Amino acid sequence: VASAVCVAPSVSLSASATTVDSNNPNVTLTATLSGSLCGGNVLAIYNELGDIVNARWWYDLGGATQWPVNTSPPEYQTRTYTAYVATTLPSPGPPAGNSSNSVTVQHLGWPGTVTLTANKAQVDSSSPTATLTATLSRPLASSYILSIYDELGDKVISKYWYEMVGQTQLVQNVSPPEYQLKTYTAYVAKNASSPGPPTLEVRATSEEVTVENLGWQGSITLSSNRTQVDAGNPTATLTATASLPLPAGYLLSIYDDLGNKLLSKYWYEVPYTTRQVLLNVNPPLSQTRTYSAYVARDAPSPGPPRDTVRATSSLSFASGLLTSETMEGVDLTWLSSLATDEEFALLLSAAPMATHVQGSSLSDQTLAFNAARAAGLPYPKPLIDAALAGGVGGALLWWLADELDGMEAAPPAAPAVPLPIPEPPVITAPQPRSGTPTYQDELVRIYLQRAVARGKQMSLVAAQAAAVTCLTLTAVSISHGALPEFIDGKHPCEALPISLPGSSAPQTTHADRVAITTRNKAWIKLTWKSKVDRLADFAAENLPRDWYRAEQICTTIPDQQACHEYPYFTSGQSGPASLAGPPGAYLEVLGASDNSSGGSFYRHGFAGPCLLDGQPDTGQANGEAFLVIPLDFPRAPPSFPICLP
Amino acid sequence: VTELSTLLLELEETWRRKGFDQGGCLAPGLPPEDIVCLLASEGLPAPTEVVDWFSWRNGAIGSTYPPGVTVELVPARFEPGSLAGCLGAEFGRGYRLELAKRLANEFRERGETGETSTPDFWWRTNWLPLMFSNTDVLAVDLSSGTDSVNVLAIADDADAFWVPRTDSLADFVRLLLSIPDRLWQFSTLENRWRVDLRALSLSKQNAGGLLDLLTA
Repeated sequence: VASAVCVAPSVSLSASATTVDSNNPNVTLTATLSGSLCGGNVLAIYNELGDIVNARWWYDLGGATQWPVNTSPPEYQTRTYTAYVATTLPSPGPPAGNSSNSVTVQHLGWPGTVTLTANKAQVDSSSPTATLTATLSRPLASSYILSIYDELGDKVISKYWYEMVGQTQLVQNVSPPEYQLKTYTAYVAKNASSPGPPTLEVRATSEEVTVENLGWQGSITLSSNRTQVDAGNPTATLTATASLPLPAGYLLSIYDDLGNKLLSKYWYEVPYTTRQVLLNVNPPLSQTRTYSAYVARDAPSPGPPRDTVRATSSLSFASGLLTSETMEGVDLTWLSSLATDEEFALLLSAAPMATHVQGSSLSDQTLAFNAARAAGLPYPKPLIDAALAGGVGGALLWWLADELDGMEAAPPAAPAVPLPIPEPPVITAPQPRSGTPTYQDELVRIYLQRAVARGKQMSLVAAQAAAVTCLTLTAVSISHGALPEFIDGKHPCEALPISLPGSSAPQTTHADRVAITTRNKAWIKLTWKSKVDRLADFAAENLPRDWYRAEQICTTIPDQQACHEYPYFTSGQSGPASLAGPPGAYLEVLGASDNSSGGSFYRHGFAGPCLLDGQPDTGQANGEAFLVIPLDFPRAPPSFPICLP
Repeated sequence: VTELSTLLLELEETWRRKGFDQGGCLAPGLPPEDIVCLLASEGLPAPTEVVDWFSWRNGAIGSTYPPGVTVELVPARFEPGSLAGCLGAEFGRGYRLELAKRLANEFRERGETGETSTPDFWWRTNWLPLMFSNTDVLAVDLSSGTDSVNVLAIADDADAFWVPRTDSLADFVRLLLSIPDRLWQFSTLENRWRVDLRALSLSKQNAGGLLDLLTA
């Protein structure tokens, strides 16, 4: 009897989907046979790389003619599958035998997005927390991590996929340090390293979200229940009132002018609602005595406080008579005498820092002033109320004082001997105004006004940091004969536009200060030269733009680093000694991003508005002099310019 | 064979004739379909010139070059990047887009409301860097919708860096080829080939953009 010859069946292949993604990565391939497998046959599915996806021998498959197989292409890859009826399973394949049609399946990966929002862009010491919400457009897939990092690469939070099953939102509170601006970004990736940001298979990156901590925005006032004390009534009760609850870590204290600490209360000891403390004092009847209230981080003995002084107010008694009240160093009694009600009302609306939260054409400060006058409150209370309105406090009083005092303090005299290189001044909080206007006070007012003239706001802290640092650094250069004491009859800090690189590019700012203070003190003053013209200067000496690559320090520049040169290339002082004269530009290898930030500020943040008037640089500002005053200290303000009017 | 491909081969031949083997320091080109795919994965178009560029050479070999060898297409040490590097977050387009956001943010924070406060001023999504020198970049603008791409020279201290320096990559290579042989000199100090800048016309008009490109 002749046995029938078994003919291997033909095979076709279908797929349950042509695309999959990381959330649903599996596809079912179904091989369909035209008949049962013969003995010795194997039904196998291979991919286009020759890898076996799965296989069944005739004895496993029985008589079945359909065989479903689950598989998944690797993430972000495409695989083409073919089924075979064969007698061997070579690896790599494919085998010889009947083959099916091919089906292609694409893995789209995790095609989602992530958005990041903050419930507020600014916080302050009273309410220091903002809430970040990262929202996914689809749930995380297996092995992914949702994370939030700050601009320094510090991880704020991260969640693995298994911690976020069924969730698409991650909520996290953040509290930036006082007086700092933090930038947050959310990522979907396969790692959440520290430091970050993630680098492994980053699938989604959110827009950046910034949250700024404005610090403590309050003021303090000091008042007395008596304007005069005498032998019969020797005691006055002083009331120190903070306009906002004290932030954690701060103290409210009262000192006399001898440095004696008369009272100090931690933040938790000051009533939250009244924010008031009382103190009985007996001012001497034959002397002058000044009492000062402070909000600060310390309350040393002897005083006064030095650490992070946020607000101060004082009262002075002369022979028992209350003679002056000061707030943020401004003598309110004296200030009150300088103008009429109408003049104050006008000035309070014209002040550059005036606010209009109440929606009136009159400033919030004028409205507060008018209300106090209408209520019959004597000076200086209306001015105090104006300063408290909108929280503009010290800056407003400084501005009023400088508008009205009509005094011009003389610049400091040139130092008689060369000064040593100073430690960088550290200005991170408003400084009390000195009793007698100084040239430094004058500069603060000038800088604030110059910013306003450009339609920009400049904080009191930034103006004070600029004035103090400019006077300190120019004094060194002047004392070494590297900078004239006067330019056009004015101190250089007043006569020239100033570029103030700050915390926007801290490494570059530090390098600039080192260059100025240690390499060439004359470099505090540079002159502008357009890029095209400076390129021509270089070319005339056969120097390429990247001349620094011939210098040992910058021959090899590591990845993500850059060679920074000071004086800046687009200045008349740039380049090696062979072009600019000794000592040749100071070079330092630092972060590429930091360097780009510094260079961009110099060209577009300083020269653009201050030298080029926003116009294309055709050489019209060549030769114009300016100062470079690096604000190189912890928690310095971001880089900013001070343009001439 | 496109005009750019021909010019790039001519450039390599010119290098050989001059005696410096830049070609030996450059990686082999990529298959065109890979280039299109990689650009598409970033949502970018693939103009013919860009495909030609990366099919010719895919950047410098490695990040560390053999001792004594410099890799530069333009004589200011503009080192060509691989397509992945040019797109990436380390120093390429991804990095530039992030930097642009940061710079715009910085300018916004100091109260600027003009164009410097927008990321587009600093880097546009359709710009692709090709060559790098310190923080300066030679990039192409992929938004033309044509086969050729504008070449841009972008530097922190530059003026209007969105203004094209050449209208196409072919023009850019043609500029390099136009440098007379006699101007090329070997600098023993820097151990690299350089162009004698003194011999170039210093007139901004006559230089036709060459000086900018050589020294951007």
